[in-house]
Amino acid sequence: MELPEPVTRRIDQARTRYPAEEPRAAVIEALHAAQDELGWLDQPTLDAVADYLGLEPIKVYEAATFYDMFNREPVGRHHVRVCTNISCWLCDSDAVTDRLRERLGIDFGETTSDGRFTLTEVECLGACGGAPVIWIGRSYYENATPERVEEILDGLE
Amino acid sequence: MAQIFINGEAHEVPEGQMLIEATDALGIDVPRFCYHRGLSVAANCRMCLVEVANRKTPAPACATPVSEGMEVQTHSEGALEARRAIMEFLLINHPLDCPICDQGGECDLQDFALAHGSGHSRYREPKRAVADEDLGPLIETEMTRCIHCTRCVRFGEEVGGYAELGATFRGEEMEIGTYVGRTVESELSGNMIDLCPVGALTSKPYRYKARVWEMRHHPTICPHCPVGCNMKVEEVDDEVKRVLPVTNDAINEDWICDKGRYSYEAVHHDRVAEPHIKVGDRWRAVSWETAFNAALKGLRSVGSDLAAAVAPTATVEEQWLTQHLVRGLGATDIDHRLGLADPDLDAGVANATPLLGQRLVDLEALDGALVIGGNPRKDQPLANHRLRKAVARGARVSALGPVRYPRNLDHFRDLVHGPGQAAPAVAAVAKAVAEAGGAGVPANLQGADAEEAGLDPREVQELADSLIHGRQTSVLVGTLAQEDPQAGELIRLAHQAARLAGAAFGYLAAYGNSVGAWATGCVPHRGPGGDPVREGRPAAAFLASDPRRGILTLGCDPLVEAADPVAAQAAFEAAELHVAITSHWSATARAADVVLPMAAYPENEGAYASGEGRLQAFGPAASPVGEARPAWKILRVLAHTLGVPESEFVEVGEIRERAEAALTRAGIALGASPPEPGPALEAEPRSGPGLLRVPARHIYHDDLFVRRAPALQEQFGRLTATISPEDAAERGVDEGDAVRFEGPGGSARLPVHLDGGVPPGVAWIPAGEDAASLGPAFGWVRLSDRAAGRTGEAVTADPSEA
Ligand code: SF4
Ligand code: SF4
Ligand code: FES
Ligand code: FES
Repeated sequence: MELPEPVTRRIDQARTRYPAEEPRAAVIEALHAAQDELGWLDQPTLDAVADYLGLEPIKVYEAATFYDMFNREPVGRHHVRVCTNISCWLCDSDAVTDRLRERLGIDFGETTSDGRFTLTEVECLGACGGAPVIWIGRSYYENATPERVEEILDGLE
Repeated sequence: MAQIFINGEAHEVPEGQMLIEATDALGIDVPRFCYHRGLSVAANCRMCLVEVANRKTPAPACATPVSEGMEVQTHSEGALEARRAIMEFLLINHPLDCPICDQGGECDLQDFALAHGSGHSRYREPKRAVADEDLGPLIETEMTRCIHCTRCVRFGEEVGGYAELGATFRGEEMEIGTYVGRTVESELSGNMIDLCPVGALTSKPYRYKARVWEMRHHPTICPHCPVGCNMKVEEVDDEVKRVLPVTNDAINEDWICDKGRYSYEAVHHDRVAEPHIKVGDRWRAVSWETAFNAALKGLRSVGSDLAAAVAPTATVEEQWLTQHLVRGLGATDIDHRLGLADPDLDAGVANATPLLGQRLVDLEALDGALVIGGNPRKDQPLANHRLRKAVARGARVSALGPVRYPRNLDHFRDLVHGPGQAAPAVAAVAKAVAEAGGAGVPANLQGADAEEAGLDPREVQELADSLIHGRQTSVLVGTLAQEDPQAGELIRLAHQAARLAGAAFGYLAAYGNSVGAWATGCVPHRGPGGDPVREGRPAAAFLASDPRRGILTLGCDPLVEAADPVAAQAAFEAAELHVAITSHWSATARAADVVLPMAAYPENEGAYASGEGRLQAFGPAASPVGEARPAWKILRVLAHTLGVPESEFVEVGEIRERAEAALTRAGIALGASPPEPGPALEAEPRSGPGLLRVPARHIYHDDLFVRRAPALQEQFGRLTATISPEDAAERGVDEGDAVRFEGPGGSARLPVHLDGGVPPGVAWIPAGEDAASLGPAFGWVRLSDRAAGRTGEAVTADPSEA
């Protein structure tokens, strides 16, 4: 498999920021680039990233499995990630996740049948000050409540 | 040096060392899982915690550099308490399956659990389980046992040179593996088993074969390549169970390659267990007496019209004795260079004893090197490891050959010359060296031209510069080049390049005892120690167009290994008598009249001379199977009975004395330089119709013993022809297609692999059983077209043969 041009362009750009003999430094950015373009990272994509960077494939598998931000399964148009780590949990993330489940009719790790939403449970998003936190696309939604969940979801197509 | 205090005692230790290196050197025991002296420091297991004065927390000995005045307690209550806590954490997820674990009895976790663990577990929650991956025929996995020390991962990256295992996922979900269930292909993979401190990675062929405490250990020397790794054979009740490395810092450090580790399996496979004679077309197992009588009768009848082919993996004693027998009978044709395709080598390079020309440790200290026509990664894995270390230090190691092999080290320049242009390419390098050196270009190099040889002149120049501008550089003639139809030319040019560059010159030999074979006189033109002899003809003649009436083969299989197996077949057919002394059945053994079963290397005793020039002796680890006998005893009987003087040897040591004297006379000594070849001439290219065959051998297919080792053969898979994507496209051939190749001697149907490292016009087809029918190993082959009748030369792939 060949990586699409926008992906290789971003990888090339990323590489300029690191020493030439350290292609591994650009793995994470390369994976972001591939995921932004393709939605998720299947094994041929991971292999293609490794090939493009001149790395052993396992180096890319390691990075892709270490970070939750990389989807190794297809995801819906909106990827709803909700934090259930300690601060969020203390601020009743349970109520938020319950409402999300109910409203979307899916559990963690699942995608709605119309392919619109995927729901994922994540660890601390580094925004404990605004716990509980939901992360969708490029936005963090802080101080989430069941009511806010309805509003947020209504605002998404 | 720094003065530190360990457990109250003062010691002088080298500054900058890690504490664990100091305690190891002093023999003070500090337990560890992740630390290994051959790998980088990961400090992830925390088993090595010690107490250091003025530090609040225990410190990991493997990641704490010593400093002046440091006070360390390795066995204080605090240190032990810390280790107890670590053990408790490690055992949380570890299964309690020691009774069914192959590591049991040699498991660090088991030992430390005994020393530091608690008899009770406070853990009540479910343990984690990890699914196993199939890593291929050599490594068995039980990943639930893994303690995530990452030794195997670091080994792949740092020593293997290509990461195959990794740590995927995170935290409690972290798993060690390939992630996709690939076969681990590193030729050094078995070392990960040794490194694994627990039973997560174990040897697949050895699985459930023995318990470590039942086994007896016998030190031995690997017969397969000129590194001469030190190993031990482990056996229970006379049955060989496995082979492990024995540490020798001057040779193999802590490692051996998979060929050395797993070839022992051949001891149990396809062995000739009894003497056999052929009666008509049928084999009859007979007594030694009958077999000897048949052999003796035949040998008496052929008299001096006899030739002998000797394995380069035979011991110096066997080699010395074979030439003693053959020459004692008045015969002259003896050779161990079965694969040598240059019939004129001896005229141009009278003495091509393939010494490395330096010590293995010197390779590590090189700052520039050129390997000509060889693939050390697969041919001499642990010499390659030294080159990798040199590269890690910044050395510029280059390669020049007919194909670009899959590498595991970063070459400074990895040059591929045009098909048939090996000699002109080396001449171009020599010329560039001469030009850069400024002392004028020797006459024979005037006409050399990089471009004509298919090379980029700028790259050749850079390569030449790297050889000149190093403090310590080497030019090494690889295994393939030593057998080339132009081997003599290549060797002389390589030597010239080395001399012009002020570099050391040496060889990377193919087999474990090629040096011994040269020095003991298993060449047709030199006696033991180089003594003058009545000159005979090389294997390239007597295993081809010019056979003798009688032929003796010792431990080898010319019908696969000869430079032209098809011609060898004709030579065997023409001979009246063929006596095969062999440990295994093979095409050659089946073509013999008398088969005398000999001990295989783990059952044998003797010595090998390594590429460094080290003579290393070893004893038997088990009794020979069935009626087999050590070859030296078989040869002794033949020589003695046939009246060859001075053949009454009682012990192998008496023969070794003579072999050793020959080695000394031949100038074989540790680090000795190989003899100078004759002066180099103008380089001639080779040409022919079709694709030039490059017969570079496969690591698991090069000697008879390895070819009979099941797990290695499974790892080897099938003999494959590797061609360029360009040639494949032109002929409509795809990856994996089975294609018929036409060689000068006949055809062979082989699966095709496409690799951009092979240039157009070249087919890399290793020497081997499936390719023997092609004839000359260095011949020209034609590749049939898949679509019938598309070209005139096409031979259609016949699906009925698939
Ligand atoms: S498999 Fe063995 S060597 Fe590899 S990380 Fe696990 S315990 Fe360590
Ligand atoms: S084949 Fe060579 S590198 Fe491998 S174990 Fe034997 S001597 Fe060592
Ligand atoms: S715990 Fe949820 S953002 Fe930190
Ligand atoms: S040996 Fe020191 S932390 Fe593992």
